[in-house]
Amino acid sequence: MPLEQDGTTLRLTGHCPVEDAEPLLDVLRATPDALVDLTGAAWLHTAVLQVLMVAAPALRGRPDGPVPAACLAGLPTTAAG
Amino acid sequence: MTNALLAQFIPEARELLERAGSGMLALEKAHSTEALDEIFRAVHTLKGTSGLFDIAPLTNLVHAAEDLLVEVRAGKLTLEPEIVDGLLDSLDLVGHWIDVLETREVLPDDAEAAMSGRVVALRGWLEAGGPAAAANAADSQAAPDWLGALPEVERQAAYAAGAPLVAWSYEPDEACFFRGDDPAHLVAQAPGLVGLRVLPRGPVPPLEAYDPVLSWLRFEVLCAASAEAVSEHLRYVSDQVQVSPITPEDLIVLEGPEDDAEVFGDFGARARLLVATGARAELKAAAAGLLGIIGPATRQAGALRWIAALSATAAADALLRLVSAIDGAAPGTAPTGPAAAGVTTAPPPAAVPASPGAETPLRQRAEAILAAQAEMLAVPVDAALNAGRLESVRTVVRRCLRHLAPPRAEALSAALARSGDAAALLAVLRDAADVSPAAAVAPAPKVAQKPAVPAAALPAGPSPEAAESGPGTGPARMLRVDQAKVDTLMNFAAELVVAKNGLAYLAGRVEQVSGSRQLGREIKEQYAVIDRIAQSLQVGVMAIRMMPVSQVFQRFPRLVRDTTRKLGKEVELVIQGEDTEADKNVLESLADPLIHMVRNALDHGIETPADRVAAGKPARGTLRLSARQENDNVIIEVADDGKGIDPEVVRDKALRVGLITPDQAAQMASEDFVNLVFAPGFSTKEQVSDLSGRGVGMDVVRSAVRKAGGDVWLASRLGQGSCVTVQLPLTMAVTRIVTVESHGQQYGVAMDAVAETVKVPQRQIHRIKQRETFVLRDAVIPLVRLADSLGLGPAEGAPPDEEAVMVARIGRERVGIVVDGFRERMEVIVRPLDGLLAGLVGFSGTALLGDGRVLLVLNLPDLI
Repeated sequence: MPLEQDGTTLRLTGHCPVEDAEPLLDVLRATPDALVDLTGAAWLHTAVLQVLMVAAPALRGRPDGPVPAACLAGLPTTAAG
Repeated sequence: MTNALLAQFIPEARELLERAGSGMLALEKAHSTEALDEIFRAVHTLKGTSGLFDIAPLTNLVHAAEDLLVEVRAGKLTLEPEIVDGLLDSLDLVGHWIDVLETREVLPDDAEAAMSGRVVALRGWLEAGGPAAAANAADSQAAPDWLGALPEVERQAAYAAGAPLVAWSYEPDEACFFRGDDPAHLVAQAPGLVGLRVLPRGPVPPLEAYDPVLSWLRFEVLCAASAEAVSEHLRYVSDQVQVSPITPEDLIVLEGPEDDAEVFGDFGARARLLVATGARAELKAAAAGLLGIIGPATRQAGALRWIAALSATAAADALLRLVSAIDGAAPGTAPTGPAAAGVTTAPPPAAVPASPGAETPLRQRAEAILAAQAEMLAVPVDAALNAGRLESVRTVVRRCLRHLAPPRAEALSAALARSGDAAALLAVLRDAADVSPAAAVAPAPKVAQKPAVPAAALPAGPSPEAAESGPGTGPARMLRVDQAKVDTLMNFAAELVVAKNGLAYLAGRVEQVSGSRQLGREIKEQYAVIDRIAQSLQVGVMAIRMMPVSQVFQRFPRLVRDTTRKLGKEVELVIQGEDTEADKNVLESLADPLIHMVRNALDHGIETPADRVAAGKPARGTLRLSARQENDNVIIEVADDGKGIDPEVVRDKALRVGLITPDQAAQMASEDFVNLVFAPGFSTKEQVSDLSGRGVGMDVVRSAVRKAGGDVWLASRLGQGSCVTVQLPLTMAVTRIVTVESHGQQYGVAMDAVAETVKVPQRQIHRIKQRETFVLRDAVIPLVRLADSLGLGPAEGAPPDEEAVMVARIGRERVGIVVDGFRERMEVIVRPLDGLLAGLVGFSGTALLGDGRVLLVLNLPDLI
């Protein structure tokens, strides 16, 4: 399960497929002040990226590559933990 | 069609496409500069005219084809068969779009996607043609307007990477996740990815109502890779992307507020000196220094950053253009052009651009285009044309907007927003012309107004070029007239021919009733005069409708080429007598039957090269299409030197499917058998091919030809080939008939069908089985009694000693028709039977006689 919740911190790890978009959305709706930790995420599916763009949570870390970077450019970042 | 301009464009576009297509085939056979010029002119004109309408995909595609032709013409590219295929396919696509335009007035929804695929293919050949060609190709297509929105750093990186560069946008469709697409992954894997922007396609849905399985992103991507590589990568989503090859210069997009500090003038002078002396390091330092003291958001700051980034690598003229953008007198000018005439004198001669045409300031060109639009709008036209004209002017103005100075662009877009107000638009356009008198005197506008007006100028067309090039510039003065108008004229001419017949009748009446031979003779003299004039009128109107057979024949080189390539056969097409003229309607009715016949000949007639060699024939088959005029008929022959038709096979098949009985078969000659292929439901080829042989072809051919008043027959020699002959009347408007009498009733018979008339004594009529026959010059001719055929019952009184016999030709048979007597010959318009009478068999129609009676015209083949 690449999606783990620890209080208000959500951790996405490894390869996050399209199926993760819906649970992620549910958690983000329920947790408005969530912090999403992407340090362990290798690849986020477009649908997951879209959820992050809409919910605009605070992020920690970014997956590699220019595409996620371009998608998530506008979102607030906290120091990588 | 509501848009009169578009209505004019459609036939013109078709004509141009046809010219280009036939030129292309000629070119493939032998390289001829003339043919190439002809194609080029056609394609160029099409591109120019299409720009008047909102059909960008069509224009872009034709543009790509034109670019390819430019290279061919310059000798940089050889016309391989694959390239011809590609060009022909593109023209076909354009032809298809024209058809759609005609019915719906808009291009099909998939036009954009279909266009980009073709354009990439065409441009691919261009790039393969050499690096110079590649640069040209990229140059000629407008860069997407979102380029400026990409981060400047990424654009600079792409500039450093150099050509080939491709800018593409990708809007994955909403449901793409369901298909397993991961657009972000696709973009991330794109070859040579250097720049990227991701943005929502529309308003982003709020979190509460958000649906995570729908896609709503748009990707704008810059790749340092060839257009083919990118298109290959995107092949599964080609309907969702737009790929445009761009040049590095397209990347320099300067935006932001203007800063008019004087310091830029000083910098400009210094920078030019530094560029001229090659002191690039100092240039970079100067740019960096200036950047430190000005606001980072201004346009000048953008240009300075570009100079700083490119100073070490870029060519001198690119840097000079950037310098001009900083201190230029024409702020807002697209940065690819040197600013204004006054400033361009400053740079040292070494830096003068190599091709002045390409460097002319875009704004001046736009000005000139607007001035021409204003001129065109000022010309008064009728309301129907006006709507289309206004629409086209609006399109042109809209496209010019981004090259204009901001205040004028605003004024114009305000005028555009008030749709339908031509006067307001004209006023603003004229204002624009006054604001910049420089544009009017500069030499540039002339270049812009006449983008190489083709030698074969548009026939009195609606485009700005045509408006400018007055009358008499075209090679021949042609009139484009709606066919319905000519048809109406033709009908009146024919009515006149018939009405004048009434005069002859009147002359007879005058002699009978008043007994005045003098008056009768005078009426007859008048009749002769009117007759002569009516004949001339009819000939004249008919000449308008006459078209050379080449109109129909010209599609065959293409058909033969494509079909033989598909079948793997080698066929030489020989066309003879293409100047033979026939009525337009007749030719149109001939077009489809001919296609059937040619396909049949290629598919069934001509053998594969291997079979031909084995049969001792040259590997390359010959298909001969010939046309000639015989009396009032056009004869068209389609002859091949293929394997011919085996009469035995045809007979067996006909017996098997029950077309003929064994008795009938025993009486038939071998040439009769081959003509059985025209019977409904007959196909000699067992296997149904993609091309022909569905058992409907020849049957359809015969019915189409008969409907047009003609006939068709086939001659074949086994192993040596077949020849299908089509005979059609030259014109269908006026028919010459002879009237015959039977049981006191008069009937008309078309003169074409009558071979001769003879008197046959009773004793020379013999009975063979059920049939009466007689011998005419050593030939046995079957006899038919018209009264029997019409069901009029036996004649009263004793049969005459001699029977009046009309020998008629039906197909190639001769049949004697026994009538009571012959009356007069006349010209009539045969009107087809319609309404309740439509089902009557045996009559081809009715005609009105001079004295007001109605004459039934017989259709002999039905009767016999």
